[in-house]
Amino acid sequence: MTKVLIADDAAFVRARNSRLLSEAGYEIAEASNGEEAVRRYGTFRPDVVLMDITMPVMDGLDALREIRRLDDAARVIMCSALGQQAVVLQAIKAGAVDFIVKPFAPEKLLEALKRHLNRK
Amino acid sequence: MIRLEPEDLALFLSEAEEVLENLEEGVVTLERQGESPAILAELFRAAHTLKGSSATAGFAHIASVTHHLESVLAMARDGECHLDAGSVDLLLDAVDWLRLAIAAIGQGNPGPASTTLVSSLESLVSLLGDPASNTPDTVASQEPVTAVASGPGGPGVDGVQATLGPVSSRNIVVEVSFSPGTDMLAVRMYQALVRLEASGRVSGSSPSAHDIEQNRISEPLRVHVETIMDGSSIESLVRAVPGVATVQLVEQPHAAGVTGGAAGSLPAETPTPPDPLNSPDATPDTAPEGSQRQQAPGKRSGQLGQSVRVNVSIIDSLMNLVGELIIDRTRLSDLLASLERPDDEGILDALHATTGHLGRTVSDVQESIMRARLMPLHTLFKRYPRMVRDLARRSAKEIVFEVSGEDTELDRSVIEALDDPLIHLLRNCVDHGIEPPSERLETGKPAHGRVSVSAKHQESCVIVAVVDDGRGISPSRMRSVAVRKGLLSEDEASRLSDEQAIDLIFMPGFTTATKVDETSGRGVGLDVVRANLKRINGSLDLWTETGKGTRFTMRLPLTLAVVRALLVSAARDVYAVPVSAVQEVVPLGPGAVRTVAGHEVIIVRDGTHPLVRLSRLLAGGAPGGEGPEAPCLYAVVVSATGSTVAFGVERILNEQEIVVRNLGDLLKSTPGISGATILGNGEIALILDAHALMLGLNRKVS
Repeated sequence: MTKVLIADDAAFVRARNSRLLSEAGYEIAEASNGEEAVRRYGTFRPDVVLMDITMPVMDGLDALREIRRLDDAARVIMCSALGQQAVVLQAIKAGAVDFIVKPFAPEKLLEALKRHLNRK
Repeated sequence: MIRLEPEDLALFLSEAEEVLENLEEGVVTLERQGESPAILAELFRAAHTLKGSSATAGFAHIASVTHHLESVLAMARDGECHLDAGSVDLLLDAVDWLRLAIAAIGQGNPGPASTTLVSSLESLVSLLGDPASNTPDTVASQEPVTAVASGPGGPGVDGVQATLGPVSSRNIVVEVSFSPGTDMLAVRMYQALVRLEASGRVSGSSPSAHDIEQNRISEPLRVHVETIMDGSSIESLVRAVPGVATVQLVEQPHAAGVTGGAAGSLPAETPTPPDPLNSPDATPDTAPEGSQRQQAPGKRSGQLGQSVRVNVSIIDSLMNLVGELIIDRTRLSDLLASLERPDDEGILDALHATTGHLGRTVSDVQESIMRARLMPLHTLFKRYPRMVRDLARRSAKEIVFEVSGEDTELDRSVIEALDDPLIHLLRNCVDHGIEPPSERLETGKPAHGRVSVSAKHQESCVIVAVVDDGRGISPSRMRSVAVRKGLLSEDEASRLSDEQAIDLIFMPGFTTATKVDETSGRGVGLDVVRANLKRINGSLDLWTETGKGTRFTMRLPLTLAVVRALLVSAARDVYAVPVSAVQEVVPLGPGAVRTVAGHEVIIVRDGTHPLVRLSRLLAGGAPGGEGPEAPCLYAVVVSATGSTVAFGVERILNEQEIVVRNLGDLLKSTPGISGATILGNGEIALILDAHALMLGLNRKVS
């Protein structure tokens, strides 16, 4: 089963995306901050990471870099709010495969995942 | 509109409330301690989290207000402005508005209008000197353009990156246009550029990578590439970037050359993947936050990661299960007692061992479940700085409010029961304890008064104290007010010790809100406060010194679910009296009970206590009624509400931990009974509420 790690500090967002993706047949793990995401990346070995940008302890950008250091084939999709363009750009530079802008419709998320999983 | 599952909504609401509390707490701290970057960063993140959640949940009005809130906070954080008292008021207004809006969602109402608030916030933003619509996140990166092209580290293109060798390469210009309304166009352009870099050697582009990073973009994107890949491969590579509408390839006869007047060209050397350790990348949005987080107030964010959100009902049901286990344990030991005959020794040993083990296990389970229900007092204390600030502003007083011991943990039901009493006491301190600045200066005190709330563990209790350094409670004023209110005669009042006079404050119906002192009101409802604390087996004490201040001390149990109780019997029924209320147990010999003015009393050493026969009281009979029935062999002396009463009982059974169960609707309104418990033999014992019983008595006597 394809594994997705959802990193977001808002439990609400995690729960919603987690439900959406489980229903779509993905195996899910969650992390509530960047540090946890890095840790979970090592143990859960997800195929894709959905990474929020603004998070406590370690933000999404640092977590992305850390994960890419552990695994330079890591696929990380940044979840950004409107207006975070500068950070998203940094993320793309740091190796994020894509980004989606919150709030996103469920189809958008599924599309984005499919887009990057197909090229596996 | 996005469809929301009920549980998602519930999660959204509870999280939103949490964020709002953090916001409020932070804003108040900010005002008190000055603008600390750490707090501002924390506040910004709180607003940002709520913005994201509410936008995701489809609550655009909340997202819009939090967005503006975020703008103000970002400007303050980045040192672009200073937040004065007026701005703080507006921020707090915004928090209040959000709270209303969140509550309205919870109730399914449309909620408050945001227009006024948004325009106030907008004008604050422009007042604070924000140029144009410079939202916090779009602040362009000031980073110098060094490693512009991060290159083929980009995943998803792994299969095509080994194509750098200029074997039979050709020069092409790739022209990319994007769909109108593409989110974050600059990022999409950058992605397209990165992909093209993976296809070969990029010699330049318009707009340049640097311009794209600075969000100076124009369409279409033109990229000069030296590549060996065929056109359709390049096209599909670029088309994989979301938002790309068209890709056109134009063959160029000559090697690298920049057309279209690109402002800068891309370095032509082999792109190197970014080094995540030494990366110079640091956006204004993230780096300061990261470094300041360590000194952020409290260490809670770190702990939060290790905690799990558990529905209270699950914990409650676990607690009930443990209750059952405790009943079994007690029942087993009862059985054991009845089994004890010498010929059964082997079985007996086994039984002993088993019960011993069961007992230890149950105690452990009980303890860990109780731990799970513990919450730090912080959840409660953090609401008060805002309240005290508002109260002080309203009454034109200067107050420094201090909170300590907020890490102290208590059962959540105790914490819930503590909110009203604390609000009451703090209100008292601000309204009546602390003098106006002028009066304080006259008496040689600093103009600003001090109010504090603190908590600490003491044995198996938690002590919460509310202290002010105000004018204190004057015994003579208590006396005169009591006389004026007709509660006491002059003579009675003058006979009271100072201590007793001050204690009048806890008398039902006592209030000093009189014409003599218009601002007074200390004492209003303090009897209720004490009664509420008694109800949860807590107590409220008072220390005061005229001119120096007042200290209210609350002693609270760690949990409500299990209490130590004395089991007594009267007329075949078994009652449980919480040990915390029991002062002593006195055997009643012949002649111990006297009658004074038609009421039965007992004399213990120097004190005279009214005697109430439990069998009569709960049967509905008036105390001191006629005719002896069940013999009273013991008196349980109980103190509550500052007075003592002796309950006459037939037998003292034992002292043990009981699991408190709520009574059904049937017995709910029975005064003097606060709950029930199931005993080892399956019988039910009613738990006496000494305080309520005594209130009932006082009413009957007077």
